[in-house]
Amino acid sequence: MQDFLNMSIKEVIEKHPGVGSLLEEYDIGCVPCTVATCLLKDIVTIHNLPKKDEAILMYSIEKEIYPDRDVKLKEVVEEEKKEELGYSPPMQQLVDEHVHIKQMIAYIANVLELVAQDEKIDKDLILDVVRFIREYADKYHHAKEEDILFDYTDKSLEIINVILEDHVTARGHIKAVVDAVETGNKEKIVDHLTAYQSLLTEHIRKEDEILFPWIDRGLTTRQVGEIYQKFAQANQELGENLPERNLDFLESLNSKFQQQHQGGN
Amino acid sequence: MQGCPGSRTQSFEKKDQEVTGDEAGRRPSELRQWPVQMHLVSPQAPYFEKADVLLAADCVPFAMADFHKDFLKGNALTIACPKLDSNQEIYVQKIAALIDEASINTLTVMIMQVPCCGGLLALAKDGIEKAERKIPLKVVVVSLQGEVLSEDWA
Ligand SMILES: [Fe+2]
Ligand SMILES: [Fe+2]
Repeated sequence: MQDFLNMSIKEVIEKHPGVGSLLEEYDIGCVPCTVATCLLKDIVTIHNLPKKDEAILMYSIEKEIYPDRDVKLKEVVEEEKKEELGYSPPMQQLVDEHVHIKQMIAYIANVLELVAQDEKIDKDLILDVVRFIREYADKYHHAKEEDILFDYTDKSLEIINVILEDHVTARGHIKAVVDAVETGNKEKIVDHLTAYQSLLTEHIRKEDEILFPWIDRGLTTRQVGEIYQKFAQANQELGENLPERNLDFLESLNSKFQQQHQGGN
Repeated sequence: MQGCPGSRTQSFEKKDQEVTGDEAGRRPSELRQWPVQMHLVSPQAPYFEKADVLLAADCVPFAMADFHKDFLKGNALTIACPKLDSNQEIYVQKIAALIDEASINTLTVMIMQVPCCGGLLALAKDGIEKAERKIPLKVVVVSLQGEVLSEDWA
């Protein structure tokens, strides 16, 4: 089959006229085309049929070329239609980073459960969470927003001020958590982690749904390219290791809390 | 039997009373380089250095009246036809060289709505894949009558 996929459609139809009729059934009208130098594989992908139709068409073509072969119809999972927001690439990067920060926000709920349950405070765990927030959410993520992205907006605007204030408030909560760990103040740890959770959840929602689409609408193609390069440089300056070790830590929390739930807690 | 949509014959009726846009005044060309055809351009040409590059299918500027004003302005240009041009492997290498050697800022691929024009986008993606640097890629799809059907970051 690979041979046929890399053959021009003209040759394929000459050898197997039935393939032409099959393509026509899907409105892919290559038969009367005088050029017909497109490759069979390209024709099928370029026409961008629904995945299910594409699978059926490929199955029928293979059956046409090899009538005796036991061809299997490729199983296709229906794709979920999701609302296309169409972020620019640098904005998409920030939105992808939000996904990881939101994962951490979810794990903070598990951490809070532990704090409530255990008599002793697991200081190491809480300080590791703090380290993720300071390194990944703040140094890696918020810095790109503050030092690069917002330079492309009118910084006197209220919406930018609200966002910047959120960053400052979030830092305050994390500082308070560190202080509370030192003094062993359980209540204060819970209060500030909970406040951080709800602040960042709302903050990320504002950015994903309102701020970023709005900034995107005002950017020229030139600016999108510039921001993209500046983000790449900022990431490089911090080193690949920073996101890596923090995402590894997220992964470890995932297995830790999954096990805990499976363990009947 | 309708034939390949890329080469099917069609005429567009233009009614006299239809609003045909502003005919007053002249606009200067926004082209700031030569050559433009992809086999002829050199990725080392100074006009590509750190530029926002437009890779347009050959038919696009003919379909679109305001191509110069709305898309060419401020950009470096190269054109190609994914259906008829030969040696397209060279195109892939040139796109990779534009990204890595000319350090272009962005790449915008403009294609016609006909299915075979999607080949130009596939080519651009191959070039991007080959390059070490990463850049944003935009795709603009133009109808046979010159309207922008979609303009998206890929
Ligand atoms: Fe933010
Ligand atoms: Fe953010």
